[in-house]
Amino acid sequence: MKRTMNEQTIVDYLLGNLPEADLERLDQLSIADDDFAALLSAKEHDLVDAYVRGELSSGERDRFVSHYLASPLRREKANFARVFHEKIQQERAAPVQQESLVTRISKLFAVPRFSLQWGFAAATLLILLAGGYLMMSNLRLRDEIRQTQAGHSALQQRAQQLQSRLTQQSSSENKEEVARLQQELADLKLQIAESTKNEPVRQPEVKLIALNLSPQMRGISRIPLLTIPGGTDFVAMTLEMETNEFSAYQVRVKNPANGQSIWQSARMKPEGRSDSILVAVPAGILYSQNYIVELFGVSRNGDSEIISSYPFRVVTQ
Amino acid sequence: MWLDGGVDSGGGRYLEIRERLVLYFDRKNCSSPEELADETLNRVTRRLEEEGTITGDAPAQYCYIVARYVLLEFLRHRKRQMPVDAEIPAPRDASEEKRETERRAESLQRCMENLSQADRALIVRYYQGDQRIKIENRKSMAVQLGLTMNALSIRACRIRGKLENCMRKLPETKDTQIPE
Repeated sequence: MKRTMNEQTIVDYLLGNLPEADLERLDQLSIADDDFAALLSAKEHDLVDAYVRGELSSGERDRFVSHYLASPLRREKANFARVFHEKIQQERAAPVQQESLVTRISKLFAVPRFSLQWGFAAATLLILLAGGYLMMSNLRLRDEIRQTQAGHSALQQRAQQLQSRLTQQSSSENKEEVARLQQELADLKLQIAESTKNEPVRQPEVKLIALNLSPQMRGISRIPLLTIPGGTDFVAMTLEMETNEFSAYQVRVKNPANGQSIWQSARMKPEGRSDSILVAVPAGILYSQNYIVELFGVSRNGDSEIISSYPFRVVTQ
Repeated sequence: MWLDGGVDSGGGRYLEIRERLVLYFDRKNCSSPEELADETLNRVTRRLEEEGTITGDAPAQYCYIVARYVLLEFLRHRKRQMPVDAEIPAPRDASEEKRETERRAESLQRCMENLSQADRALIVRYYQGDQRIKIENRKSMAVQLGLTMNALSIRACRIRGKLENCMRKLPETKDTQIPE
């Protein structure tokens, strides 16, 4: 065991190997000097431990036995050292207790670890923002799906009506009218095909009914009756126009009893050369009473003017 | 208060000086080192009571001076400690020694259980490893605890001293030679 010169002096002091002058100097320091007293205590422990572990040279070991162990107090120290080191060996061999996951996690927050805690806060904020964005996107997409499906079904209804009219017309000799209806039917079929492409795979069921309205003529005429079954989502209204002169159109549904508007569409463009406008009105706003649908033409400069009005009567089931 | 240098240590400084005096008299192979240490401190106390204060020497230095006189008187007027060869008792038989070792181990276990968890962990870790590994381990401990090596050594010594005192207070056993 290699020692520094000071350490060797202390070992010699403890083993009684120093000359008288040096002995007295260290005696004084062992009581009067705090630092030396602490060093002496530590080196004495090391010396005793070295003896117990068999690490002393043979000369030092002999001196240790003959001089150091002569004192009962110092023999007690050596006895203690022996059991103490055996105990240390046992403690080292004992298995390390596994902390539970909860304890380990909770320890993370026990001591301020600002970078870790700020990291967690930032990550939480990001997750919340991302979640909010996804939720909004989800709601928007659901709404788009509903509108697309409503439009698709309305187109199909219109196509069926045209087919029916075509069948009726073909029996007459109105060739121009037949040609027009055939073109309109072809356009509608094209639109149906296009909307089918964009349909989402999963289609929630949307119930709608169709209503075909012609412009109100002067004089007395029967008001079309619309029976709305329970659970209906939309009324697909086809508004026939006398002319198609405007770049855009807008539809408004009014309560004739008080003149108030209960629904208004967005501005829409007519479909191809069609002389009709197709709108899907939410069925939930319609009750058993009379209504008026007003069709507005919107010019290129943004001015709008009423073109036609279409009265109808609703009976809800 | 005089021994503490004006700072009230609650008697800690008194016990510290007393322990040093005991070890001093023990190194001089005095048969009753504790009695001589108490005698030394009694004389210091009497001087303080008579004169109110002691000037000229630091308290611990003055204690050494008085201890030296006490030692000289002991050596001059009391029977000198028996020669080394005559002091070492005859070894016990193996079974008796084994029982004694087991008793010491149980005593140490009880004393270690009285330590705080922190002290116990420190002392166990401080003495782990052999030679070079032990030194490296202690350096690592000092860094982790934010202590100098010297401060760590002092802390470990104090804990070890607590254990030794604890074992000393437990039921005494006959003195015995350390088996070789």
